[in-house]
Amino acid sequence: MEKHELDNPAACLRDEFTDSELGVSLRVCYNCSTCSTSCPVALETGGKFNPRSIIQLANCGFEERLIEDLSPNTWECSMCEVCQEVCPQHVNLHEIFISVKNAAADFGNIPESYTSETNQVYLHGKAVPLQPVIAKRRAQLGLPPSPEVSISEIQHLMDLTPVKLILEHANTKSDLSEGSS
Amino acid sequence: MESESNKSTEQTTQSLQFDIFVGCTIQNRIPFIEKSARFVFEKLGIKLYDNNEFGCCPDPVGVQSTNHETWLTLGARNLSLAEQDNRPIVSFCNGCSETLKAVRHELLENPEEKSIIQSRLKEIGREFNGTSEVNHFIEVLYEQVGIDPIKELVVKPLTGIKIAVHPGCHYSRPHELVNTDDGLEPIYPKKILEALGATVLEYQEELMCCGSAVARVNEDAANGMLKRKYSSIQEAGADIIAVICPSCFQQLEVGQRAMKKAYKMDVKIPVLYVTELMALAFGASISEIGLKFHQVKPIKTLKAFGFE
Ligand code: SF4
Ligand code: SF4
Repeated sequence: MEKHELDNPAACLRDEFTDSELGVSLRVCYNCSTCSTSCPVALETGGKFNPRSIIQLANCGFEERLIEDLSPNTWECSMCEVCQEVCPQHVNLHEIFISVKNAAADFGNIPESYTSETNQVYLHGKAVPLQPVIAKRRAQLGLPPSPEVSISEIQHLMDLTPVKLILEHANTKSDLSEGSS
Repeated sequence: MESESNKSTEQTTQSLQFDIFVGCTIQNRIPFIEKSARFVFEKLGIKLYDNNEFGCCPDPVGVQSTNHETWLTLGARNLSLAEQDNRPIVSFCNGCSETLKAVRHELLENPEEKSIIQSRLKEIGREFNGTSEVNHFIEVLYEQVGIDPIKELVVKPLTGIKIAVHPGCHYSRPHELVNTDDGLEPIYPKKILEALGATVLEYQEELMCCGSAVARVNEDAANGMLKRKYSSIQEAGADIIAVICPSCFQQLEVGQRAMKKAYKMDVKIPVLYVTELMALAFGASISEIGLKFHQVKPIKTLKAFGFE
């Protein structure tokens, strides 16, 4: 929860992996590969993406490779959370991957579908804004109208977090988000 | 006989009340799911209250991966709204329930983060203390309502319908955060469908993720995952796929067309929400709950089993 420094996300991530509970969790990994054996994306990519390698790179100080080169590309994780469940060492793969993706986003390496979704939340308070055809369908079904939320509250809160910088920063980069998949 | 059983249902569930957290996808894209959810809860005598200020949960994949702090802050705002109503939340989405549970868990475990979030909420005149519990609707049905009152409401049992259940990942994982059912072998949705008279099938790839997150960046991998899933479901001979998450619902509907394109594979299996199947068993008509709005039309299958 420290202040984000968008100008050096790799260093911030390294600090996080060195000095936090997450770092402790990372270091108990004993490389057994149980996570990778259960990973559906590893199965489909012939192991090109696999959770163990991300944990290993994070453990050995290769933050730049993870967030700048996206090699391997953590955005390919399907967030099925099976690896976390089967890991005999209870490594917190879930949070580690969130941290890697957040740092990649700070660096500007974020797929367009993620920034556009977050942007919808900023603009409408909802990831899926209401369309007239659905408003009509709701009425047809006898459902209450889809409520509009206080956008000002949502934007005020979001502006207290680094998200706007991330959205702007990402827009200035070409779409390398999907480049390495 | 019937009035007697209805009475006991009311006695078990009449005290239950929740803020309904519909979630963006159901609310603004597939609202027929909401219709079935409200229908079922009303039948069970559970009171649902609408809080019109709820925003995006926000999405545990999209928003959390973009920025964890943003996710935490907006999640806490939603929790603070329910707290103000002094009611627990029921969510009809795996993603929303994971987010709201995980945000609450993280803030209650971590006083430092909590105080940062509290001061942010204060700026908009709101307060988070963590007093409102968050429930996935399946949890409410299985743990708080129980199987017997559900059985008592069945007027049109799903006899003969073979169902493959796809529970979806975020319903029970990360288990440490969502803390319901079994992390890797969830059974509550199956027990509920069995109570409706359906035949619940075992199939090899039940745990396989629908791939909606990976589809954002690697379509081939997502298709491969779906192919395994559908093949296994077809092999088991399912008439219907049952889901409890709007993302899985959409992915498993849209994916059927993708299979044709990617592998020339024919898949045509209606995908139904557990609440839709419950509503049908509780006597709702096909048109009443808007089943015609499904992309993979379930009507022929349902008519073959005597539903109108
Ligand atoms: S299962 Fe756990 S201990 Fe084994 S390689 Fe994966 S993260 Fe490391
Ligand atoms: S959460 Fe991601 S890395 Fe872990 S098993 Fe699922 S897809 Fe693989």
